Amino acid sequence: MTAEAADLDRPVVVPDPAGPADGRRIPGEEGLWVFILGDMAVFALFFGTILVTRGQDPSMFDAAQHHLHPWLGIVNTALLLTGSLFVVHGVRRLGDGTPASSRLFALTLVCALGFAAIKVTEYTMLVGEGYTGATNDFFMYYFVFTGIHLAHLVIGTVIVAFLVRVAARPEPTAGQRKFVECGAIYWHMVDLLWLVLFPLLYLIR
Amino acid sequence: MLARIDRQTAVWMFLVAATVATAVLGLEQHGGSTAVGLVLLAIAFVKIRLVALHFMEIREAPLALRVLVEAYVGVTFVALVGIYLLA
Amino acid sequence: MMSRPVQIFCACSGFMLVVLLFGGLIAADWIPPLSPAESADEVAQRYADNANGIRLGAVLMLFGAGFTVPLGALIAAHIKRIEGDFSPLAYIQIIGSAGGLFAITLPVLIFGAAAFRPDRDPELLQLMTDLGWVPFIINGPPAIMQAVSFGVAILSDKRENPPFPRWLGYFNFWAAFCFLPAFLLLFFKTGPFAWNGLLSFWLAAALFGGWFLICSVMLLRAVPPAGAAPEVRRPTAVTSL
Repeated sequence: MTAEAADLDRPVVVPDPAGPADGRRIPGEEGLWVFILGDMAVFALFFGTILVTRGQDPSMFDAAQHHLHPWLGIVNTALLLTGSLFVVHGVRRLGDGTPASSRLFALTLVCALGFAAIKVTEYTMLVGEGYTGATNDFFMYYFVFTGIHLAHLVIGTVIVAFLVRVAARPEPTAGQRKFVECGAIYWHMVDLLWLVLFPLLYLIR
Repeated sequence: MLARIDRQTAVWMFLVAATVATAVLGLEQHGGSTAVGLVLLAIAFVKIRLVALHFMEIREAPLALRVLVEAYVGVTFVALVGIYLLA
Repeated sequence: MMSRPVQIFCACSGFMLVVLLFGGLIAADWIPPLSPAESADEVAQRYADNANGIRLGAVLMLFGAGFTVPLGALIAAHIKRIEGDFSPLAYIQIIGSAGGLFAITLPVLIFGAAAFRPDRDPELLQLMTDLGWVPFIINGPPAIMQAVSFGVAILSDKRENPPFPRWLGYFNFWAAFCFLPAFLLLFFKTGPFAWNGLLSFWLAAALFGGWFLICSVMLLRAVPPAGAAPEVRRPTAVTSL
């Protein structure tokens, strides 16, 4: 493997020289995963709720799903995935002496704002067509669960804005580096949750 | 050219492609097909596993954390399949 | 001058709250909780069948509510140590804890009044039940204030040997998040968001009780060993963003 290729495949998580010999390291920090796994578990309850509701009245569910705008959801999925890629590279290039890291997080911010704009557009279109959370159970869960996800994204946007700032410093401290990693993991979680929420609400009949 | 694509970018390309595939599959299905639903669910969980392993760097994490994450992916997937088929 | 017995008592308050609060609900036969979809007659029947159980439950929960205060006070004292002289987070914790006392006391007093004369018109009993259960479950802000202020303080603690592990900070944030679904209960008489539903009740109750239990344990562990030298107070929480 050439030095260049090896460098490209270098894991973003830098092995801790004082850490275990096998080079494994908890991404971010240990405590963060209480929150991340906990949040994912609560969303798993949401996912189950959607499918249980579907089972109770599949024809209502199916008919309601047809009123959504799936292509907007697909664009949103692509935005979050691309945001994740920018975050990965932003973390990788943190403190390398160039503005790349900060700019990559700024691009993530653009993705986040794009997602939010599209989501709001979707909501507006649906309400304009006469579908609100009170219309039926499907739409109630649609608005509530995508709304809770959107709230997570808004928090993620604030966090990424902080990452832009921290990454602009020439030499981030170990604490700042840890904060950036934790913020990155939170963003990936927002992406991950949408990757399940989207097909459950928009595609699975 | 291929040598310059790092692992995470390659994962991203796969995820975007999988998203397009699920879109086409999901939207071109006529009527509700359970088989298609299962495939879409499976693809979703393959995707989140990749995000966890390669973006969240669980691949580099100690075994305990990795087991927890893999368990989440597996158990949630199985539970959702169960509800989807039985509810 | 830190008194170990006082700290230990305060730390154990969390256990007391959980035992009394959930014991009270069990005495009232409210685990699982009654449904908001029940008719006035069904609600009235509950009071007719179990008036003394509900009365006892109300008294137990009233005492339980009191125990929220020493726990919150001890947490606030720890937060103040982290923040130093200028301590808004500590004050949020104190006020949140007072809010928590109110959040349990108000509904419980109404439950007690309802069970006091169970032969009332069923419509009135249902009204009082609603007046109790809605605030009982929906009043999340005090708990959220306590959890978020504690979580932020733990994660900003820059001391050499912080008494609380960082995962406790993240746990506080997760708990606060789990208190959010309950805000939707006004819109539902059935389903996971109703006051007896999976998300509004069971998830929130698990994290509410869990929060008190875990905080109690961690606060006990943070009590200095007998004979330890008093800590030099130094405001060291500095965020470097």
